[in-house]
Amino acid sequence: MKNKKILFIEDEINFANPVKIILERNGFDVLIAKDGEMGIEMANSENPDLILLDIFLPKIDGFEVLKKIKNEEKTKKIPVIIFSNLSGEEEVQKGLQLGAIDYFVKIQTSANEIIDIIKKTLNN
Amino acid sequence: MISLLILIILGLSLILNLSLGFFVLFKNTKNVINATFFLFVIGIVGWGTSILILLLYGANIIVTRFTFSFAAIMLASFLLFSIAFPNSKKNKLFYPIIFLIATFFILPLIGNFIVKSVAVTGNFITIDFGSLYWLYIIFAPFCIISSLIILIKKYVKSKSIQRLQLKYLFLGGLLFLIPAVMTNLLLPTFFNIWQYNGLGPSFSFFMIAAIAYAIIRYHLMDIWIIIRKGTIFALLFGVIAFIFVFLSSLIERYVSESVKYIIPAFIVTIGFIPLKNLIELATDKIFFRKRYKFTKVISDIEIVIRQSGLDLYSLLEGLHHAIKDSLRVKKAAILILIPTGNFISRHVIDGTITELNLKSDSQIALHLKSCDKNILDKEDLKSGIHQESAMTPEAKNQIIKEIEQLDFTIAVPIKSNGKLIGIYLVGEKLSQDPFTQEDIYLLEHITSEMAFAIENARMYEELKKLDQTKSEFISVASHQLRTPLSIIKWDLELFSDKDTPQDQKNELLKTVSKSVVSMGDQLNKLMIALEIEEKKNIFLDKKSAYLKKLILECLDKYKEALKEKNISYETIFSETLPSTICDLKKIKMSLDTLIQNAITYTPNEGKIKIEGKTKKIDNKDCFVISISDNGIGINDKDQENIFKKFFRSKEARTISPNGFGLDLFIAKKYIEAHGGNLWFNPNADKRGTTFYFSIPL
Repeated sequence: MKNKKILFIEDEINFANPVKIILERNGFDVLIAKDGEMGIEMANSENPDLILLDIFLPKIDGFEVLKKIKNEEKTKKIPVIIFSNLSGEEEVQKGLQLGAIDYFVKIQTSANEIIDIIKKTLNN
Repeated sequence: MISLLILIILGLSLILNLSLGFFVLFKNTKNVINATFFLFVIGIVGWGTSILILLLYGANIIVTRFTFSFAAIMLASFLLFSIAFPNSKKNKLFYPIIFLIATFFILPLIGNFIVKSVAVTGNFITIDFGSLYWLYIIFAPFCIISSLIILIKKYVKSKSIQRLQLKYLFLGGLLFLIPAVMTNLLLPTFFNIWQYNGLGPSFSFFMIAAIAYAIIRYHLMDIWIIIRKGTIFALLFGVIAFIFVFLSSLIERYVSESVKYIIPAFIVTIGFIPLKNLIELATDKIFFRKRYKFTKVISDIEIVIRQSGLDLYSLLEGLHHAIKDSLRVKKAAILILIPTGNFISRHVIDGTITELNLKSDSQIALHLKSCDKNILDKEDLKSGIHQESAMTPEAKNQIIKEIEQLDFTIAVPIKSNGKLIGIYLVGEKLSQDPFTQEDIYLLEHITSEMAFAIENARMYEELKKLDQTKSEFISVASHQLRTPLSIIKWDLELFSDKDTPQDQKNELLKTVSKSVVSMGDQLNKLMIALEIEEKKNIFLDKKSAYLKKLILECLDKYKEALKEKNISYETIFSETLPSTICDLKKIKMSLDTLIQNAITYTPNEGKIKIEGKTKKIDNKDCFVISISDNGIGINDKDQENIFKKFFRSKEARTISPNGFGLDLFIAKKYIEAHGGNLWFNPNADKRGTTFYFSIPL
């Protein structure tokens, strides 16, 4: 079976790298987009199976990226998990309202947790 | 006894008249109205003084002749005054009349043409007239009648304020004539009472005062009140004297000599207060209709302030209504200083809200800023009665033009601690009356309340903003500190994975250590910012340093970042650059900020230029460094905030979402602690910014 493709939209390369390696070891292909604009582009061109999305992003912020992805016919079915360090109730609510299936705070989430939720989502 | 009192009153009124004459003259010696009025006063005073001397020292031919000379001055200069008033214009009759004055002044003095001899008995003066006396008989009515004709003609043609000025003139004349007719005509003719004769000229004071008020109109002592009191007492005096004399002569036949005065005196005493109230009411109804109670307005204002709390809008509206109801003005507007330095209005009284804008470099703003005594009154400036020493004629004309353009009459400064924070513009009164001294007091009082309210509301708004900044900061800070922490956390996750080879583990330890350093840096900046806030003065560990070397070292640190974005850079240093004494760490940190910002906000393939030279700033030798980039530049609306702590522009956040917004705040404070300055200019081609910093050598 072909590996599932995950698009990780994250500007902090030092954070993206360990996450990428850990996900790859668990059998996923991981692509990294360094800013919001690139994220939208790659969501369209790469047909990922799942998107991990940061909120504080250069050029276009994560909420805008989410809006754009959910508004486009081609990408609106891709499940999006927000993976950010913003933990305010307001942000969580906004993210879920905009169509993210879950919201994880980087500092409070272990590798196992994120792998579990990704697996669960992709299996459904 | 009575005649002594009369003499004292006469003397006193002459002194008062003379001082009023001088007062008006010195208000503006160049104005023809002021000059002719002064001549008129001299005539009256000279005339009155001659009469006083005759009454005191008996018949004297020279003094009698002077009586006629001064009377001539009085009559003819009133004619001059009538011509000039209220427009300060002369006509072709002006100089012939001056010639007439001179002739009729000299004529009585040079022989027996007018006065042959004189005799005084008691308060009577009997004169034997000379051969040319008929000239005076023609001259006096000629002056009076032509003055009256001129003034009535002007009154019919006049409008609003001029009409009001003329009204005062007639009112003054009436105040002179009514009591004078009573003492010098009614009482002697019908009741054969002559002893009040000498009192007649004293009433001229009311006339002089009324005319002086009509000329100067504003901001003088409150002649308005004096006139009101004067009117009431003149009428009261006339009525009481009439009642007293009328009653006593009526009951003369039926009662004994001693009782004949007691009964009228009794009646007058009982009737005094009701009579006074009646006359006051009638005078106010006829002449002083638009009066308001000052104390009532003040207490209204206090209620408004108490009720509106910290809400600026409701407070300003409340104050507006207090003014509208008491001064009865057509409109008014409060212009408030905004950060650009201009003044804009937030509210207009008459319902139509039009945006008013007054530039900070307008003459009105400049004048109100610089001057202490500084209510600007369009009518006052236009009349030219007052000489404004602090104002050039060009500035004055400009101010009049500006007030007219705004379509208002008065501009009152709103000052807080001597600083102009707003301007209160007031339009014409509905009655078109001029503003009185009392109105001015009221406006001054209200504007001081406004200043207080505006400052309070500003402080409140600032506190609110500060609170908002603080919560924003907490959200940003928590995110900011979580970023390196989460990198460490995930690096460690990977580190503990059994599949991670040793060389990768070594790499991971390196990034962990980098993240720890970065977090330490961020925390350090937070501490510095907090310390600067609390302590205000910054400790400097001063050592000698070559700034050029510091800059080159700093650039070296960013070599990789420059290469990565393919940014070219250029450094230009003037040849002789001396060393400076500074706190190395702090200057390094500031330089770091500026160079790092230039790199961050300049696009790939961009260009950075760093220049260093010595320059005199405010007579001090300084080392000035400029760092110019062709990056995103700084938005107009963000320029005033760029050095505020925790501020990051939207554009900056788009390019680099992480950051506290403390670097420029700290750099500026550090450089200022050295006695230098940090500032910026947008580049001429609108692309990028140039930051400058100066350090005294």
